[in-house]
Amino acid sequence: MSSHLVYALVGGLLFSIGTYGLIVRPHMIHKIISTNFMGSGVFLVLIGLGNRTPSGVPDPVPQAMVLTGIVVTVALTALSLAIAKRYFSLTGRGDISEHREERVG
Amino acid sequence: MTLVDHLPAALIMTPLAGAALTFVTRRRWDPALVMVTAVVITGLALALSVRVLAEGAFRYRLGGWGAPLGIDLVADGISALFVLLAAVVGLAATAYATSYFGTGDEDAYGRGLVWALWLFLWTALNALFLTGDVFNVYVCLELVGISAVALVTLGGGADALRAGARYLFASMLGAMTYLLGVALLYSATGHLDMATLGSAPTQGIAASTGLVLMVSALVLKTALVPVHFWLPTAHAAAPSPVSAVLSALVVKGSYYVILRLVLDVTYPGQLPGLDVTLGALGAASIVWGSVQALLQTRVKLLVAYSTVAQIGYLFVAIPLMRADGGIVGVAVTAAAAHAVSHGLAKAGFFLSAGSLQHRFGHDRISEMAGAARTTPVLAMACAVAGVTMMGLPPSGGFVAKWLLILTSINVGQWWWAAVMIAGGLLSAAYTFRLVAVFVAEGAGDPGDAHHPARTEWLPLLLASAAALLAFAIPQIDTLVRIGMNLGRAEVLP
Repeated sequence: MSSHLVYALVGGLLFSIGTYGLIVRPHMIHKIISTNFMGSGVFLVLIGLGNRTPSGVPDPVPQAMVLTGIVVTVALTALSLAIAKRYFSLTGRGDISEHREERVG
Repeated sequence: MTLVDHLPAALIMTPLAGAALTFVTRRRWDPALVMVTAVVITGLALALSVRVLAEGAFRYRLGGWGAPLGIDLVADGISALFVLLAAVVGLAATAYATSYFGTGDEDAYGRGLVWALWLFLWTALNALFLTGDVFNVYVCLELVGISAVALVTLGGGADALRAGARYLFASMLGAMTYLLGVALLYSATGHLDMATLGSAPTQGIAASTGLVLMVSALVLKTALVPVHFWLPTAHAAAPSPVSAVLSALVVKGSYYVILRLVLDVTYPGQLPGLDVTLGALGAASIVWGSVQALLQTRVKLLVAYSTVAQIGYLFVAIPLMRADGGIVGVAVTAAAAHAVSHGLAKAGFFLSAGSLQHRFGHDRISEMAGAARTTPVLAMACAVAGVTMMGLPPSGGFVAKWLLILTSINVGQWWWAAVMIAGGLLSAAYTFRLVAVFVAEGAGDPGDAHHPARTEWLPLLLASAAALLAFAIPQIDTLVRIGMNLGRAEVLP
């Protein structure tokens, strides 16, 4: 098994774990960590597949995409942490599931 | 290169510069600054449409670097139309917002950050409508998402924060999935430019999986049933000018990308079943969104569920666009006309719902009896917006639904027509339910006016524009066909 395939498979695994956590876990901090798992997974896929060039020289375009993606993910993480912090200070809770919403309403 | 060649870049740089300026100018100048920016953007958007109509589609090489190394902006008929829609709705929402956000205490609405966020959102929307690159789409979608979520949470209450958080997580799930799709598509094709991808379509499981992931992510961001869960709470919890922009423009952004992928990147038969699946989800959205709208007890939630339903029509158009193996131009025109008329009408609907909420101090439908006498302009705006939702002539919604129904019968897929007719009846039901309360006898006790009544004319103006859009259909038809690959297209049915 070539190295780029290993990267891609591990990336796919991380992405799946993150997707599962994001959908299933009700707590915001769990969801934020899950999205970062997903991000790392996609970046590994990009890096792995970017190495798969005939000449053996890594393709710079996926690396540029990863750099941009990291910047975007950091911004999204910062915003979601800010929302989670403010929500916690207002309600004392960290989860945003439907169940709680009905009970409050 | 003359000055008009820089229009695509100017449309992105102008709101960006305006947003940056709001940080350094005095806060009391912000509304005027944003208003001037909005007028300039509207002028530029008009100039872009005129130029595309006169000289056809064109590409703009950012910084002089062309594709594949650089990122190209593409201005063709469809992008010019969406930029123009954003400009008209944006201008009206800005004018409304100057009185909505301009009053009240200093700390409300993020200490004036609302103006910067709104112009950032406009920047991202224009960039999204003008980009020709699938990775740049990802960046633009994220910029749209970040500014939109921040705008939703501006109210600062726990409800707004929860709605914003759910919107944000849905948006992030979509973003990561889209990016994974781009990664697979790039690894299979080696291209990111949409036109290049479309001119040399690649067979194979990686490219197809990538495209399916990208479209699924965009479906989530457009809030189609069954992944619409985040939209009603987010759009209803946001401040009203923000709700208007979210429902009228932001969901159109991700739909626009799907349209681009379907028309420009994939070729017929590359992804068997995708068109029909999108159409079926659209049909489900029409029925489910309308029924939910009928059941709501609050005005803003009713309007938000109506968005879910109306977005459905845009997706029912997709299988019809490629019903004959090529591109059925008339179905594209119908989808574009529906996007424009829904954008105008829904912005008007949300702005008047916002004003009603301020007048009454709540947005419970059952306690709004008598609104037609006490707030006639707002009640009228809701009713006129309803004309487009139900698809009565001469509204844009009528022409769009008429053309789609004709096309579906012409190509022998009558079941789409049945759903669209049922959806029209359901929209009539939820609109009349609202209007019936407005004209009923009742206490109708709106408190003190929160903002001047002159801005209450804006929703009526927007709704009327949508209700009269049928007269502009020939121009829209001409515009959307510019730059579209119509080599295989069929003539009007």
